[in-house]
Amino acid sequence: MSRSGLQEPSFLVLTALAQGPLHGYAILKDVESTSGGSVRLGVGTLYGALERLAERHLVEIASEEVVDSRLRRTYRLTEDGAALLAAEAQRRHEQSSAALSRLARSPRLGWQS
Amino acid sequence: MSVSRRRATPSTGADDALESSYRRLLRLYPTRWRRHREEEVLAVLLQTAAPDQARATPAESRDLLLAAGREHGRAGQRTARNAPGRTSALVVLIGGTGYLLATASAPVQLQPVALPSELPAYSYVTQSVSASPPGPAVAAYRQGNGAELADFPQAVVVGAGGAVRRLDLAEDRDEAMQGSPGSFLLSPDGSHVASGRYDLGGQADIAVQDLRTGETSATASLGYPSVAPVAWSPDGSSVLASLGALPWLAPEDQPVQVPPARLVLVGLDGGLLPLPLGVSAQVGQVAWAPDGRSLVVQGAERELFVVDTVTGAPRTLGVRADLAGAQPWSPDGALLATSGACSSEGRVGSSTYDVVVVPVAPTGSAAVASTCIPSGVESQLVGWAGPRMLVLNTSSEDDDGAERQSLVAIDLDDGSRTELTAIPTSSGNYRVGDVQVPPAALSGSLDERATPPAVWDRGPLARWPGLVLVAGAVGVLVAVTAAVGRRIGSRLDDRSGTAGGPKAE
Repeated sequence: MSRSGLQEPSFLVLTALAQGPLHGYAILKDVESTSGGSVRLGVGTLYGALERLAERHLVEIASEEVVDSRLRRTYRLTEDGAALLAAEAQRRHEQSSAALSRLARSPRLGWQS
Repeated sequence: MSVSRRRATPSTGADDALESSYRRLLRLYPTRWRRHREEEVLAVLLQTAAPDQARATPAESRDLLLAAGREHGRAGQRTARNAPGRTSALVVLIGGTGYLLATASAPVQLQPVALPSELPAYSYVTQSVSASPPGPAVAAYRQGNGAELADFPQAVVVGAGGAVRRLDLAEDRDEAMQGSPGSFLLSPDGSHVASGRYDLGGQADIAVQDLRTGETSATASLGYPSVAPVAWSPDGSSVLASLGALPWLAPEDQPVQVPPARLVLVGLDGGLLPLPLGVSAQVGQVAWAPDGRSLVVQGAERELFVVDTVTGAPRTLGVRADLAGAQPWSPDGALLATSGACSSEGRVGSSTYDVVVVPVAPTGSAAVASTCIPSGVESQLVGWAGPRMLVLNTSSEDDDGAERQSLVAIDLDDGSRTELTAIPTSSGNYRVGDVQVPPAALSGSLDERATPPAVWDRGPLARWPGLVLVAGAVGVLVAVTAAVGRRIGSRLDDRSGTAGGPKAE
């Protein structure tokens, strides 16, 4: 994978954090709801993505607290993370637009936009 | 260092079981990750769990297992970056042990029926025949002469089962050869090698090694400075050897008084046998015909005779020439390859380097003209692949332009050439010579060549990998000692520092 590319879990995590700082459980819930319930990240997958994103300075720890005797960390986007997410979203948007416009020109395939 | 594990709310048995189920999985992560993440991830896992869940679901287990594997991969990369010494020592140790295990089994011993399409190139890690016999050989050759800065010439045999070994018998008989292996000759079935010797004191002997067992027998001193094997009997039970003066010195410069040159017949046990009927001890060159009954011998003034060893009767061929190579007879006994010059290019001084094929017509039959094959100084006759198909050892280039030594079959009738096999020579540095192949393997290679193995079996732990393996083990030991030292040191530091509370980033 290229250095600037984003794997799907990372993209979803950045998207979740785009609305503001969230802790791990909240990120999972947000990914689930924004995908209409179709994507459920495993906890291991989530923290693998967070590790990679933190290493690339795309997310950072916003706060750390103990709730019910358990450690809870809250994460937020960095400026780099926000910029990369914007670029990635734009790229995906352009790809989707290209796909839709081509399908629209091929009525044979049964797609009418 | 760690967060308190007591829960604020009264815990139930199911909660505890679920937590320890998760913790068992989290134990699979690297230590560094656990120190930083375990409590946080455990909290999220417990939040996502169903109310009555008592243990990790299969999906959760799979997810955590895969993620833990990825973290170990990342931790390994970090270690390699931060401690390249320790990592490379570990790689050497693991690689060396793998090499040791992979090559520890005895080589497969097969009969030589065809050459592989490529023969092994020069290597410093090849084990010896005596340490690990390769079985009957499909080829034997000399290589490494002229390697710059690392001129360690080797004699190697390639077992028909794919094992390559250094012919230590010949390599240990390198006195007066400036490190080059002594002369050697592969038997017709590839099962034995005879090796002569040069001895400045005039006490040279000849030895025979069984390539299937590594056993060696040698004659007593034969009383000459030079002993060289020249012709195996077709049944492989004895070998003719020529005794003489050191070939590179003029008669008056020989270090000892040398008796007139002569021929002896040596058995596999190192004992001397009577010469075949009709063969005088004074002949020059000699080679057995494939029928095992007649021989070609070189008499006075290089005249060639065919001797019938049953009747002892000689018959002149009417040709004055040297024999070309150790296998000059065509497989049907009808032709004989001699050394000649097709043009001025095949002649250097008084020596000739092209191959002239002369007919060995029985008495009374019509004479057939001889054929000249221009081969030049750089090529030698290896033998025959068919009744009218010569095999030359000649230098060539592969498709990528890399130099190599090829065995090429040449059709006497139409001059067409077929490459049988090749030996990579690394841009000519590792020159190859003295290539010997059993007759059966030469003719078998015309139809079909075996695929060479991806990695040649060079024997169990030759000296160099052994040293490398020991170095790797020492490196790991040093690194582990240092790591333990560091850990004890940091523990002492921790004890003197502040305690309690989650560590801030």
